[in-house]
Amino acid sequence: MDGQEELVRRMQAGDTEAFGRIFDYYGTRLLRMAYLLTGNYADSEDIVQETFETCFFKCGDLKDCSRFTPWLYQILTRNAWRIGRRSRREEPVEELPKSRGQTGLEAERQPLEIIVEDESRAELWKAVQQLSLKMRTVVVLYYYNGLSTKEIARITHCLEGTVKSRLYTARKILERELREGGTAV
Amino acid sequence: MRNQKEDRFDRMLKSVLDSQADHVCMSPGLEYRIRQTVYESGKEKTKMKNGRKRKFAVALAAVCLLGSITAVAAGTVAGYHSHSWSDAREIKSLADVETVSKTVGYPLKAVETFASGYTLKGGHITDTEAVDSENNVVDAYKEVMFDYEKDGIQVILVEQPMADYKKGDSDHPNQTQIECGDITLTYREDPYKFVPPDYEPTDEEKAAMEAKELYISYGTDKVEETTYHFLTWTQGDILYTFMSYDEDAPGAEELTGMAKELIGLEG
Repeated sequence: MDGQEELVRRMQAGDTEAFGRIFDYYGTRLLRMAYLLTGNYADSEDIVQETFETCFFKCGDLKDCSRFTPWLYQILTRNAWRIGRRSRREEPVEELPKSRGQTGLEAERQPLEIIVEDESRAELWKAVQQLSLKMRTVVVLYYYNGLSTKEIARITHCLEGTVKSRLYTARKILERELREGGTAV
Repeated sequence: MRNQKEDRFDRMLKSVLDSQADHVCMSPGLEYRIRQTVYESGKEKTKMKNGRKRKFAVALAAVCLLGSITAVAAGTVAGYHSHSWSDAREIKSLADVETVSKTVGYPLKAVETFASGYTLKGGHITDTEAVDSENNVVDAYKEVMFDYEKDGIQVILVEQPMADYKKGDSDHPNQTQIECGDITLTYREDPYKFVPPDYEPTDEEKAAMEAKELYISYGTDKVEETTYHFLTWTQGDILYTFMSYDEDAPGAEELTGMAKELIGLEG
């Protein structure tokens, strides 16, 4: 985000307009992260609301403004762990959204192949939701946010080795779930 | 070295997460709640002591929570989205109430100053949507929020159309009924504990939270405890709610006195 450090400094001084611009940039992004972590829309709204409130009211605690993004992700993650733990999970969605659209390549594929892949994707999402919250967090930060294991270690307050281990284990669990579901990649 | 199968799996996992995330969008209600909390707190910053900002934010949310607790039990409404028409307050004095009443489409009751000394500081209209667990709108209405103040202590009065799903949570602890002629007032106290972000609740606190005997709100520098007081009643087709939350805020007796003044007014 261009000029983010300056916006954070202004927000630290109580500038609500600066907060508004930060919210515009990160709002949907954080809501989607929260949804991937909890699988529950209502919880995601609570998580994001608490995260932005903490962001505005506690941003004075942030000494290095260049570290704003990992600091924000760290708050979101902690809120997700707390709210996700206490809340009952919604039933996994049975049908994946059609947002992928049908590309030219897909149109050329055999219907059976498309069905198998759609089933694999549904199985995979279901399996992601069944991972432990800490393991799911590493998967979301790595695959969805595209963060490095080093960055994830800072956000989740653990050693980089722990992140790599969680990532490796999560991957093995997900692959196993797909194999057992008969829709392995 | 990563093989082709692993790369394909990684691509598929990323694609699944992307497609799941893509259909999640910020609702106008959530956006408004977050902005309102921050902007209202910003406006109050000069006169609020440290920690009060957070309590004010919780107070705004708590008014909605009163109804949603009931509604979850009814199995229909799971939450609320609210947003004001504008940043400006539609009610600046008692003279504006009649106009606002016509705007919202139902009679409003308000006084300039209650016998207890609480004086009208302003008020605004909020568009509220009640939603189910899948975020579908099941009801939409306009509510009016009046701010009263005395010696820096705030009392909020909310008036909104009554509906079945807003009927009280009869099992809620710390709740009492007060008869006022043919109208029943329900008084309730909710103890809140404001704690730093890294606070870990004790087992005793977790049990109290499960039993709705304690609410924990994260984000303050140190641990502080505040009790929120609510008094609700229905008159005609309108649901009235008084809320106070300061240390010296009015409790059951004083709020009941204020309610009686409103009940006695012509609608």
